[in-house]
Amino acid sequence: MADGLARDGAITRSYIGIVPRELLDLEGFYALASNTGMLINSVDPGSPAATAGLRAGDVLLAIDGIAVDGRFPEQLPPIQNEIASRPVGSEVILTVKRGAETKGYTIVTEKLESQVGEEMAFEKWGLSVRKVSRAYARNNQLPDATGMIVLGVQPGFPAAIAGLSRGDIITSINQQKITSLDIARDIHAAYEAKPESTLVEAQRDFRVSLYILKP
Amino acid sequence: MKSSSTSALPLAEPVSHAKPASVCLSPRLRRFVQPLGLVCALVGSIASTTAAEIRDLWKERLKSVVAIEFFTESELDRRPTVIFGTVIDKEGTVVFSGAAINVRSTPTELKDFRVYLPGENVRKYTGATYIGQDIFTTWHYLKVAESLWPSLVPITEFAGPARATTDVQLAQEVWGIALRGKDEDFTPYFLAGRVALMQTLPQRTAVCMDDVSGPGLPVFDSKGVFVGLGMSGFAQSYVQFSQRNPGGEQIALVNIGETSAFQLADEVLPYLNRRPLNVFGRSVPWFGWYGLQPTDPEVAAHLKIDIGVVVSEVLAGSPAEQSGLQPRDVVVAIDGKPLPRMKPDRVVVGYLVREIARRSVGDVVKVTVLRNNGERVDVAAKLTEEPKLLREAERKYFDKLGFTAREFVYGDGILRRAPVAEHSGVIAHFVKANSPAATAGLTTDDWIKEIDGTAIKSYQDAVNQLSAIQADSSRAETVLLIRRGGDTQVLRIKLK
Repeated sequence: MADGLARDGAITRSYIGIVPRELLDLEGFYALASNTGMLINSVDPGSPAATAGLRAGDVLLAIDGIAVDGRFPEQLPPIQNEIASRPVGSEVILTVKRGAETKGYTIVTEKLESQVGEEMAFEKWGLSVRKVSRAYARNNQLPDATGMIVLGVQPGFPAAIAGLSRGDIITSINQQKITSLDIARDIHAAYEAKPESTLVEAQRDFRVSLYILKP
Repeated sequence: MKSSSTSALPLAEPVSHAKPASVCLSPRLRRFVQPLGLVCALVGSIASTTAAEIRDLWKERLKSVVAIEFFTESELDRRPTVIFGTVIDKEGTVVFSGAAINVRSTPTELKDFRVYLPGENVRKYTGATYIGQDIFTTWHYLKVAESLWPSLVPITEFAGPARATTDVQLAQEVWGIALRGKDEDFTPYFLAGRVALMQTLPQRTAVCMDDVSGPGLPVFDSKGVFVGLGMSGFAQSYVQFSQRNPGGEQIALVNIGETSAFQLADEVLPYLNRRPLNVFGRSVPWFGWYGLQPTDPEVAAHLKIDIGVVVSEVLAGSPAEQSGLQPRDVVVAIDGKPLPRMKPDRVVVGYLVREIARRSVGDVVKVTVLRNNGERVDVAAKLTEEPKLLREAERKYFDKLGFTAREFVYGDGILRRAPVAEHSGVIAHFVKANSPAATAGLTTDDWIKEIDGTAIKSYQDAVNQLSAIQADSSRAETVLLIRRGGDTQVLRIKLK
């Protein structure tokens, strides 16, 4: 861990996208021997686990052949750590029971990303934003990580006058998709040099509206 | 109705115009100070028509007005609704406001329709049959039992001879009928006012200085010609000051007993024969665009159009998809006719929705859109019947578990952003408080995908399985896999 910290300046963790839950007295229900297995309570859509075919309600029996015991809540963190501590991109084999069937799934881990994307402020527009992260997109049923979330607008500035408000997701500016904040930064820089009407496409509750940022 | 003696109206003859306006109570007070309120309604009276004349017109037109009561039977209770209706033909057909019935209800839950004549003892009422809701006008249709037909006069009897004569003018005086509550035998009373504003919302609507009728009830001019139908839910903005909000807070107040706005006769008379084919309101033409958002004036100017409507989504399997319409297209015209600019901008969405609703299944509709960099594209498709609606979805309450399982319909898939291939399972339509299901964490509108580890293939599967679980008294527990938002989770319902 210390090595990783020295190398990357951050702790890198592996992610496969399962949310665990204690099994408690459900062994009977799932026809298991006692003190075996952990309940997979939910699977993040689009995550490696989901892609591999895991589903909520599956019972995890073993990781790389080593039996898992997730009967009580306090037993869950070590199991999660078992996956998180692996190098990003490594293969992990999960033995999973679904109904009467037990099957092995090979899953390649991903880098665990922060829920929170990068933030930026656009002074001339009176607009501050946060990039849509993959995790945010997953949690909010967005098709991909395109766009930036409006964190705030300054009264009297173009973004506020146009009608943008906190929580809107800006998906494109001047017909350019916001796949990274750099794109928005470049358009803002051009606006700063030569202010011109700028067409913004944003969605609120999945409803798409257009806005004009006017100097 | 008996004679006009049943009317409690303190009409003076002839009506004096000279009465000072300051005696008038505000409309809000009127509901609380009723006797004074009735006097008030006469101030600013109908010019050039005497009270006696109006009274004669009133007596006749009262026969076009009824009060309706029905009961919504849900899982646990039976709730009454009281609403006003207008008679539209000689065979006892009555229309009432679209807002009267909760969209979550299914017509089979609506029971015991009763029709009351204004001012008659409420012990006497006549049964009626619910016919359905029209998608275009949003009116509900009701058929009153034949015994009452002789007492009713359709509103069409009072229609003006031609379009021009039924049109109201700014400042014109109009009057209408409102009804008191059931505890007052639905006593009719008189309302009048002047037209203050004409708006297109998108129906042509007159807004008056005062309340002029009960919601859903007719409005007349001084000659007794039908000029429009009172709207329900027309809100007025106020600022409310309170201890919690000393700075004032903007609120909207809706007078549920009276209305100052009415849709002009031209928006009513041509559409009275639109009664639906069945209680579910079929037929319902479907194009399949979703999340329509108007452009504001700045955006419209930028796109060099008067007004446009942004399409957020194009629904899978719909005529819109087939036509090649794409999400984020900006609609500018329908069947070659540019969208009109209406105030506020939002109204144009209602206009577009109605443009589809007024057409028939099988009609070809052509839509002109702006795409990408202002490229103008025409798309066209034949309208189809809309997929199964929420009100058509089957449902069943499981009392031991404490929830209602409802069939998954197309609209559920839209709201849950699920591709058509995933449209299976059932919806928890209702969850009883403190029931085993509620204790397990099930909440209304959860999407149940699996029961005891078995994927739900159809509504009938789910009903069979849940019935078997309820019937099995030895069962201690059942496990549901549910989806809520983007999240899937396991719920354990304890039965013992």
